[in-house]
Amino acid sequence: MIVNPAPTRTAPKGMRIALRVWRQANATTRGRLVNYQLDDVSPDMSFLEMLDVLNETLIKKGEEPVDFESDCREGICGSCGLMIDGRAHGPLAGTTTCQLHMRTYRDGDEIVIEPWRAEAFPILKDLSVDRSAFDRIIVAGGFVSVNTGAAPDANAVLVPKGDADLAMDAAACIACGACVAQCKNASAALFTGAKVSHLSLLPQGGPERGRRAIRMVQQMDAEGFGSCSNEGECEAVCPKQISIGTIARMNREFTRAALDGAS
Amino acid sequence: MALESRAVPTGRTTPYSPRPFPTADGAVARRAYAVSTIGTKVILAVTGLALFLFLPIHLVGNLLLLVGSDTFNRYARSLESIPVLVPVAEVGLLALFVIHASKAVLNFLANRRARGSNYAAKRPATGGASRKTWASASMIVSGITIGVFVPVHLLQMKFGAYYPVTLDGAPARDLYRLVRELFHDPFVVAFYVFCMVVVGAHIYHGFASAFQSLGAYHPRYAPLVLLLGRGLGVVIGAGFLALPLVMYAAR
Repeated sequence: MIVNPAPTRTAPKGMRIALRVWRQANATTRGRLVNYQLDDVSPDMSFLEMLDVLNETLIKKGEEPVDFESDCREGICGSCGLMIDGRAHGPLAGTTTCQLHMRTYRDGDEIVIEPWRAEAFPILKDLSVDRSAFDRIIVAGGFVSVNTGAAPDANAVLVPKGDADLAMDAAACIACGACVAQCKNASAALFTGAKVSHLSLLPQGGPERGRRAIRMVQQMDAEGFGSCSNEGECEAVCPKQISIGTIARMNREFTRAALDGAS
Repeated sequence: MALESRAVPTGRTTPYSPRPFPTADGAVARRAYAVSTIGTKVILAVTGLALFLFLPIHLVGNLLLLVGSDTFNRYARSLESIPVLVPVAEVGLLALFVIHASKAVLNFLANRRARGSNYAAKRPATGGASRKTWASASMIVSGITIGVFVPVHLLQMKFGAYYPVTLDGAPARDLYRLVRELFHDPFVVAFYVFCMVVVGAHIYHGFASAFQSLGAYHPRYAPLVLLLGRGLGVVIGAGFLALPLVMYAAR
């Protein structure tokens, strides 16, 4: 007969983490960094779970929890962007905030957590920003118009393997906004470049190619994003490691479309 | 739990009003190509590369200073003797300079507005993809420094003292003497050396950046262009700053 041993209680062995978190009541008030201390942080927690623990303690004390955005918590939705110690999505390359784990930190570390900062991404509350500027860039041209009807034959439209790979690399963009947050100019060139590249590389995106480049870039500019200084900071923090080659492709697409007189 | 809370100067009142979405029939804000973010960078790239092309020519010509007085003065006179070359080059360079500088300053200001409020903590990204260097982070500073240097340089050299000399039986301007006398002054030498480091730094980032702005990116060649640009920055900067040092040492 197998007897399950009774669960044994172990003494807390968590880390002590000091947090400095940006608190801002709403879009129009001034914000400030507030210090918090967590004394039992498990190295197995994700960064967001650590913030959940912080919020539980705040709620128990009757304080306002820290507002931050998250959804899938598996690195694919793009909701959870935080500026952690001055780097978008924290210290690890190719990682979203939710996939950053507390084992990256050591006992006694201090962590500064800020929201994305850009005129085009207004802070709504604490660490949450409004990224609908990205949605408006997509609405301006980040789509392929198709006839809805009978499904077309599979493989009726052939796509060269190299183009398919490049398009897929660009399509990996999850629109998290880390590129804007990290860029010294708050430029959305990597995001818009990825979307323009993704569709313009595929035959289905061909007919609207010029119009798409013009309209998406015009919308990007209208939102108040800066220009690209070609520092590559965006690629370095991009959780999907999208290449600044997509920015070069967008520049070519935009210039060609402007020369063609596309609108 | 809140141990302390202190205001930091980075907070900023951000008025929030959601923008309307663009519509299917094309209500997108229109801007001319030249004032778009991409058009601006393309103009900066084209004018920057054109201005850059002047530097190797200028450097090779100036290195004749090390050969000797007559060689350098003969070179200067033969350049002047080519019809319309100098005036056309001067007007062209001036136009490129003005366009590049004004576009760069406007671009810098627009980029500052795009950030809005500053981070309390900001660090460069980790990982190999970033090309950020002290040179790339200070392009506006190096650019303004060059913008100050070039007029001073022209006043000292082109519009400097005119020493007549007879060369091969014909009159010429003794530019060699002018340069030698200028570089007797350690302050002038220090100013030139500093400015040439700045020019090198501007090329260090600017050369490869221009190619990227023009859309010339290839996964295999882009790293080589980046290396080439950095190498050119070092070589051209070192070449130019060597001249005042050598002239001073040989005074």
